[in-house]
Amino acid sequence: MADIEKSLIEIVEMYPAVLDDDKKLKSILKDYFPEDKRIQNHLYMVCEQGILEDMKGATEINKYKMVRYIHRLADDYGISESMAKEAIVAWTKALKIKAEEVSISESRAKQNQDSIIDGNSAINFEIEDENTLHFSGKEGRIIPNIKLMKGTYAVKLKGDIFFKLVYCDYKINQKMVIGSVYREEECIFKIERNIDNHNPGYFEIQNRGDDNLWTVDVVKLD
Amino acid sequence: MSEVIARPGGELASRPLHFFWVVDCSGSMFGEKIGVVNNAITSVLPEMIDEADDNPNAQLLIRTLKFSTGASWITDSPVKVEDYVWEDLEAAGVTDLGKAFDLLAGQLDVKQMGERALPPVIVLLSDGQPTDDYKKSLAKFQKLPWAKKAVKIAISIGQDADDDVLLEFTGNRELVLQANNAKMLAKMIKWASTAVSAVSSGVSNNAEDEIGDNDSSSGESVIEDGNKDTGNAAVPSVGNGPLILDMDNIPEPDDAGDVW
Repeated sequence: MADIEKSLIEIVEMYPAVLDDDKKLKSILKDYFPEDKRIQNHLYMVCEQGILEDMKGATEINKYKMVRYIHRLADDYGISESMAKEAIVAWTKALKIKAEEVSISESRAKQNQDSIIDGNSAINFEIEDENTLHFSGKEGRIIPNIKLMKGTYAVKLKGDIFFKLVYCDYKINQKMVIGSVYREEECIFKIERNIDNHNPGYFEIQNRGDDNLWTVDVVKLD
Repeated sequence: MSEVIARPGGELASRPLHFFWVVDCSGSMFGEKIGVVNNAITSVLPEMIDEADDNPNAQLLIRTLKFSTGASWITDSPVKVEDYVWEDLEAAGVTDLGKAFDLLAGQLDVKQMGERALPPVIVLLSDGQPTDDYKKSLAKFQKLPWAKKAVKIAISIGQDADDDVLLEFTGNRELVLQANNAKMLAKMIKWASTAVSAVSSGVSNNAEDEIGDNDSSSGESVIEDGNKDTGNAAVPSVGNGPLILDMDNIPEPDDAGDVW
């Protein structure tokens, strides 16, 4: 691992232009790690997933972001989380970014905890803290397989969109719509029953306006 | 008693035909790629000797330049093809193509090449992206009279090679050959080694002829050397005799099997 980090540091110092050119980066990774396609691929994946671009300019990365990055690689490429973590940590060291330590056991969030991020795919959300699901886009979206523990939530919107949370309550065999929120409103809603694999839910965002970026924050209050 | 009558004028003098292999030896060439290059060039040398025998008016001289982190010549000077022994190259390091162009430019000096030489043949093999500032070195190289007259062929190895750079080098898309697997690489090396032959038939000097123009309708490209009066004392005076480039028999791309 130390050799990989050392080589990556050398690449960043001696050939910084490759960070802005995917083809050149791929080529130089092949030059530096000729006998190890796995390392070439794992390091390149960080670039291919946009994580390297995301990292540029950062001085530190919190553990939530680290978790998100690890999940993104592991989920999209079918690699183990430890391999994903290895690649991401190598890049943080090469870019001299202070990254919060994340243990692999902690990275798949524990289902028993009340954190809003538990069980929700890191691919769909930017996770800045453990009580907020933040996502954005330009077009309408449906984000499936939402998991929310019972409690009180706030939804804050920016942009000309219409947001709703829909889930199926199989106990009463009914589709529930909670918290329809329209254009830059903020609303508070309560969930009486856990939204999870038994009662799966989804977020629906309808873009009512133009092509500008919209954002949604779902914050767990208690 | 018979006597040997000496021919007036002595033996027919041959003109040097310099053939350069410029080989990417960066880390990405490690393993199968550099192995194929080594084997293919080794096995094509006897054919090059045979071709040279069929062209008595040209003295084929081989020189190999390798580049990875830095660049260097394998031999101190050009070697006659019949005496040339291929040394297996190894692959490690980055891709300093610019340094290769710098060394090549040094060799294409009129003093090094001589004035009677035929247009040199340069075959560049690469599978990646240059890691140094190659553009300045390439521009400097391309200004040289011998570089303008040279037959420049590039073999693009694998799908990650920078074909734009190779096209800048050859100036001709048809002479950027794709080799995406071991079989194609060997075929392309063989074609590039034997595609150029010198013909001694009398062709008068043609002023202002462009070197490297392809007349693909005939399946052959005639590379005519001519005296270009540029007022530059360093411009080589190459006299008569075209080179023929066998464009008709460029191997067809074949991506069957493993693709790099």
